[in-house]
Amino acid sequence: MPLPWLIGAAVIGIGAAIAAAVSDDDKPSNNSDSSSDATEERSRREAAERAHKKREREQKIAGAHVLFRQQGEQYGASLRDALDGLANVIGDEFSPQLKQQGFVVRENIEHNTMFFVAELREAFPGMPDDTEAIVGNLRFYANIFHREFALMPASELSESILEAKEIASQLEELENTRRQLLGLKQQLAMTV
Amino acid sequence: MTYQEIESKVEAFMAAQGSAMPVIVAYGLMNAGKSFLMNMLTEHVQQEYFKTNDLRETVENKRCVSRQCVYLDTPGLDANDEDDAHAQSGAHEGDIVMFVHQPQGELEKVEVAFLRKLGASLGEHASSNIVVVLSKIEKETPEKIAQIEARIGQQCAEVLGFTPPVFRVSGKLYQDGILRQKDTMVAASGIDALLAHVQQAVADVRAVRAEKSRLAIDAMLKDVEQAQRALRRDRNSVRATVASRFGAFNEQIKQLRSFLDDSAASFKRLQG
Repeated sequence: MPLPWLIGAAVIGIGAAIAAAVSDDDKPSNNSDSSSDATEERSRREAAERAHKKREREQKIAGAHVLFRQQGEQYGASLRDALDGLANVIGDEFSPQLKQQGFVVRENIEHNTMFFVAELREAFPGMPDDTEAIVGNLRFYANIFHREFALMPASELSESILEAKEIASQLEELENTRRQLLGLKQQLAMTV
Repeated sequence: MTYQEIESKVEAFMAAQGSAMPVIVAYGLMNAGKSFLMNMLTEHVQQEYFKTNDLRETVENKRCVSRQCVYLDTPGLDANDEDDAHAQSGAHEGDIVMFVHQPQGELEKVEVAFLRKLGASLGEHASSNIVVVLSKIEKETPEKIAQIEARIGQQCAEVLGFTPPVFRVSGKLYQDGILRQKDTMVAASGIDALLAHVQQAVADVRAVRAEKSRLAIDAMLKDVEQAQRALRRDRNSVRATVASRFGAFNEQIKQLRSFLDDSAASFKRLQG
């Protein structure tokens, strides 16, 4: 599993590549010759330079897409490792694409996480903080990587979830019992 | 106390609440007038509910449920062993015991023996829960009744260690009084006085039971709340374990979000 600082370094890598493409693109021309021939020659050179820069820029954009995808896939591998022992992960596609408006995810596949999420919610009802953070991250992960999850049978997590669900069920029963006893106590006070 | 222990305890308690009406049980020798007396007490004046006859009519315990309590009639103590067993089971159920005796003389041996057993089984509650009823008083003179009552008082003191309240009643007088609308006859029958005593005893039993129930409920509520706290602690511990197991995943998702946002921002600049 890659360490977080390694992932951070990779993020800087993609950021730097794209930033370099932007800065190269903005370099101004230094030519100041004003004769007619020189003007024509300068125009020709500039056109050639623009064409060169355009090609270079297109290559850099293409490179940035590749770099973005490669880096995303590295994240995917790390995240899969991070879920080892917690969930069975199916699918392995880094789906976002870089567009003018930002990164775009192809489709929403939230339904694939529903069972897993329902298990967590049933195990920890009314406890939004930790659970909701995990649920939100799982959904994000599923959408970015087009992945599906299943609770890993007999894993540490499945045992914890079973235990928590049993506790939740007992708490609910005890609350019903408590209400029943309070009702009977009230009834006794009224009838005697 | 565990969850299972609490649930079992509460379930048993709730089940007992359903049959918690005080029980008034009558017993005495065969043909002592128990069934007739029970009919009068339960307002079955014209049409009998508990069968009466000169012959032995009650062969097993029979109950009549009223609004506040349950009346239980038993077979005669002296009929046979089986009837005696039936009567014994009634005694175990009874909160208030009416020991019915036809005052032809003092308590017989079998009655004394039964009172001894009864006193032992009721224990500390015996003195407040046993009533002696002298039935069919119209058949003897008041003087003879007074002598018998005094003698029975002595016998009870010897057997039970105390003298229970004694009521002189005439079911026949009460029935005639009701049917002929003669209040003096009704008053002279002693039934109303016995009924008032029984009703007060029922109210006392209900109050004691209610208080006991309230105390039991309070104790069970404490147990329930304690168990709830323990379970919440356990759940928090499991939740913390799960959250920590997702720690690396959550951290990487955070970095992935930054990566996506930063990349998108840089790309936007590149495109622009």
